[in-house]
Amino acid sequence: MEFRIRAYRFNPEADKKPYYKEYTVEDFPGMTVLNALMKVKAESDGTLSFRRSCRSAICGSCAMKINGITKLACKTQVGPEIDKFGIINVEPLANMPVIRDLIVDQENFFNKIKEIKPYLLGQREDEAYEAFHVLQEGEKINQPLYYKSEFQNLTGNNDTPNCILCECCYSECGGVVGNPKYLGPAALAKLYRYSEDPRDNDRNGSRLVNGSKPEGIWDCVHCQSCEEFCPKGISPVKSIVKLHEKAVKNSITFSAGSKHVVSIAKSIGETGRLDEIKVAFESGGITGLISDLPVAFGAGLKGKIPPLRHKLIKDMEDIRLAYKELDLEDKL
Amino acid sequence: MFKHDVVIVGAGLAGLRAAVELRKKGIDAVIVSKVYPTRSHSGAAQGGVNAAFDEKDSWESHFFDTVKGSDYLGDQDAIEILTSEAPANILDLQRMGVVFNRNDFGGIAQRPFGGQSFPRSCYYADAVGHMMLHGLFDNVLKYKTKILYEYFVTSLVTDNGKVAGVVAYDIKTGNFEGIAAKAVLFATGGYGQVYSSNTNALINTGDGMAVSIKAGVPLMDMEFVQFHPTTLKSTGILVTEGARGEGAYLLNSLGVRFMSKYAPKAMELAPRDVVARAEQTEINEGRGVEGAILLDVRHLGKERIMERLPQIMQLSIDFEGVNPVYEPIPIRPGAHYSMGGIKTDYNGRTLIEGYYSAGESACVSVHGANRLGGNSLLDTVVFGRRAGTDIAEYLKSARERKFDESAVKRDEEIFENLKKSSGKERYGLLKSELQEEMRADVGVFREENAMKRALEKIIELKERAKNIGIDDKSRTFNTDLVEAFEFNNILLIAEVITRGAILRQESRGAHYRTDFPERDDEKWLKHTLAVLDGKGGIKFDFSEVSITKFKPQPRTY
Amino acid sequence: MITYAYYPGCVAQESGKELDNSVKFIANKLGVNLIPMPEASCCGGGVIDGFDKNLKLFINGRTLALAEKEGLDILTICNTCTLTLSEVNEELINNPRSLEKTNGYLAKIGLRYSGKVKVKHILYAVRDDIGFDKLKEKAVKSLKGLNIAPFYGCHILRPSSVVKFDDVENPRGFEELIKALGGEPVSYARRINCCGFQTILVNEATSTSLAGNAIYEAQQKNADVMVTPCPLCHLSLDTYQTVAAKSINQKLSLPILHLPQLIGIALGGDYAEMGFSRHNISLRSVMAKIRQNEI
Repeated sequence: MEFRIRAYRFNPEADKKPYYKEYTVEDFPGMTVLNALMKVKAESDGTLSFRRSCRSAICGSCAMKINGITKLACKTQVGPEIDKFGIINVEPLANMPVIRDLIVDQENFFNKIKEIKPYLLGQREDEAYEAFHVLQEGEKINQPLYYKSEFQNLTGNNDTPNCILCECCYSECGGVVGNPKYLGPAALAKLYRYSEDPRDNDRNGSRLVNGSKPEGIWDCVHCQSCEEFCPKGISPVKSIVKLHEKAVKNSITFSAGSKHVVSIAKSIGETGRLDEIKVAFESGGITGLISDLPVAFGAGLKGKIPPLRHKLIKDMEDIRLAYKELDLEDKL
Repeated sequence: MFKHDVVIVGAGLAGLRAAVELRKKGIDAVIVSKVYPTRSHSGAAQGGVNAAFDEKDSWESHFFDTVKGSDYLGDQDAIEILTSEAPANILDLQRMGVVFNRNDFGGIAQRPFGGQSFPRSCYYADAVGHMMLHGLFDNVLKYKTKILYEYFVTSLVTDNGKVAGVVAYDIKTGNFEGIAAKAVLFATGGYGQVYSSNTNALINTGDGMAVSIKAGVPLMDMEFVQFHPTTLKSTGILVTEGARGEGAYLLNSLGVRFMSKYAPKAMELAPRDVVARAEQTEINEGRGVEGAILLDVRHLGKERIMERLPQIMQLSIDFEGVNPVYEPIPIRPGAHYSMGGIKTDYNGRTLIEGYYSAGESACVSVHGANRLGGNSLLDTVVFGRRAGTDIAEYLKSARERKFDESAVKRDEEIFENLKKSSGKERYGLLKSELQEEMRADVGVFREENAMKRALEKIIELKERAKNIGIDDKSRTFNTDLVEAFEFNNILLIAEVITRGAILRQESRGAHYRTDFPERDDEKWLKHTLAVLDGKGGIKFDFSEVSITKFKPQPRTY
Repeated sequence: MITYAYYPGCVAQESGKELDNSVKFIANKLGVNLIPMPEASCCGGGVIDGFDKNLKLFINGRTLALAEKEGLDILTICNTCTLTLSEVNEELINNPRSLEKTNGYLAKIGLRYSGKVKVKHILYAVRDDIGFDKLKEKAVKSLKGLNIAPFYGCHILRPSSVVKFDDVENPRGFEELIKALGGEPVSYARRINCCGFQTILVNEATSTSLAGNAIYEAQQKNADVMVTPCPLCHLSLDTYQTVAAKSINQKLSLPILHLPQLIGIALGGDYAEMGFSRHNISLRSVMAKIRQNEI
């Protein structure tokens, strides 16, 4: 079967603006989008540029937008895409500047990985070196013991250490679209990975404190795209939410985001409902409310301002019991 | 022009391990890699890394298994280092943040691997290479290491027999740069792309080996190419030996566990050379299933497969359309690993002062004629670390040297000429011809006439390669040009492999000659060393094998 | 007669009252019986697990148990409520430990959950339970010629392992519904993107630029109106539209409707009844266009 590939093309040396070029490719069973791109490059157009390496979904080089969704080209079969869209439309990753064709500049992405300090904290710098011990004849080594439970959040199939930094999540992330400085799902998942490591010695909670600053964990828009489009089945958004929970439990609640969550929890604990006004007030503090005044005013004119006093839901004591059962009353 | 104390070329496990060692000591080392470090092929290693931890196990046993596995061609002084330093290196990685699965007593969990007399392969599910690569990379970031990524190294520069740096092509801009250094480490990996049906990444084109032999540094034992017994039938994608370590069966078309015929004791866990030959024999004799063998893990049960082999399960589904929980996986032998490489000693030193190599690109030799599964990751960290330590020592006495910038001009011209050429040949198609020829005639089974045919083909391709046309004339990210250059590298490596394989008239480890089916210790218990003869050909020399503790014995499993 | 336990969520009962009213109107027209759930609590607004994961299980497990007691499935009209209830439902069905823990709490308030309830968003309840044929049969006003941009939002599509209504890469349900009403679905890429609501009180600029981008794209594609199945998206898209315009530095003026309002009009509801006057961006142009069909 013949099918069409429509590729985003841009060469900064020659092109004023990007354009699309179409190729016709002969299919073979099990052909992937990467196979198809390589076939084009080998047989007809050597100028088509893209990154690729392992072709088995572990190196993370060939992430690109395929029919509008970010995927690994090596892992995406041509057949189902053609069935659904009738064409293979390939474009570079979003949220990153294009260098050429399907190749983007990843510098920002990797800088964000660096920013979260992706390594164990609190170790003496020379410790590993000094501890190195070569065995003599007949000698055995003693190893430190860590129980399975200590690594339980790092050894599951879909746990964050399986991240290959392919940038699929970053390309689809709503938070980054809104704010290019936002650290993004991959970096924050890595932050979570180290915060869960039993060997990490982050005594003063610096990971959570730094993570709670603007552009950090509280800037996640919960769009679920990172989980949906992760080719390795990891859920960065769930890691981020676990970091939220950790921050709140450790009373690291200086950020607007954490105040927002706590105030929703309070509101539900008091009335069973979400009190929009109160939550708005408590999340942003007084400045937040003032900055939202034009919005509130616009909404108010239309009669949309929610009631200031909230009726309790029926059987409110059930909800209070839930808070009590979970020892959450003092958090309210 | 850049200037650093140390240039590390290649950012897989060996390169990163050396970088950590140097940066920890505050040494000015830069990493140069043609891809971003986490894209390196070490990340695709799946099953395990060997070290004797168990009370009932010993590093001496690991030592012997490795010597026997190498078919006695491995250098025993180096293997002793590899195995006695293994546990310390694993714990070192663990301290750096690498996660290993745990056993019930809190120690590192270990699984059986081929040719090992004890379950001693440490693992992280079936993605231990990934775990180690990212763990080490994180440490490289911790020590704030400068990384020149997407720089393609084209030459080694020397000054009076001492290394002076490298020439690199900046893929992003199309500029050539000299990088001066007192020490250079090549950790550039293997050349799997010489063969069709290989487990390797597309970037594994033997660049470091090609640059080395061109710089006059011999390549050792290049005829020894490992064919992995279990690679997916349609794509050659790796299926870990850990699958058999967990208890998988190999079945022929009759549903028989045929390994009983070839390795009655070790069965599926015989070394890779033995299993690959057994599979190929079954296929050749008509007991294959559409040219493949079946790897059956169904009896392990869904839960164990999901826990221990999740990546294999996903790869089989995504790339072979087979769910191993319900169906056996069609597999066949595929080119996987290079036992040979840049000749080094056990500190990574080569014949040029200040020039080092470690990992798959190097030949120490700890793998001899056949590498055991789980020993390559070990090799990268043990010898990557040792190279780093040795370089640190070397720098104390290393003097400044002159970097001859004409080398940069020379390489720039080579690229410019290649780029200008508008010949009719397409490297992509030539590459396929080469790969197919190498698979057919310099593969699992070898024979003189077939290999001579391969050599003729190589010579023909070298001629046609002069006529390669390059579509892409631009400077920015010209992957067309880079791939054409890579093709010339694999062509050179293919010639070294083939000539070495014709030369070695015996069968040892992964090198099996149907016309010389026996091992011949009298004539061939020696390393082959290949260098360019200056007339466009290759000449060979030999060196002794270090035999310290274990006298060669017949090798049965 | 189709009967659901009706879970309107908080916003539709307060600032988004017009949504609740429209739902009740169309339920009546389509012969759907909505049983109120006065005991049901807020789902936690999609962020409650950042406070305490078990609290999310308990309060939503309770909501599910309330419906199960009546032998009813839950009808939701908010994306975030839909996802939260579905997530908890999946967790309780698939994780025996979570179910046991939650039932421990539920036992103390005289409830128990066994996993029988289905959570349905109104968009897909119309498609799957009521059927587009019924919708066509009951429609009295054509939306012919009206270019309608469907804005799916996130939580009725993603994660598709939990909300399994539509093809997450290329959903069609909303478009089909628009066509069933005689409207023209506008095709634009950002229909499946995020409206930014979850951070609107945390980082307004980030949040509103997301909504702004989507509105701008739909506007460029000649949409007359954008329709959303989620009251939170509606807040981002309508209430904050003037802020969004500033965030992306573009002129924006696109009327935004709740999906049930659109259906309501087609079923003969009048504009006042559907609360058209309650929106920030005027719907006059939309009303004019619909009126043309009547002439």
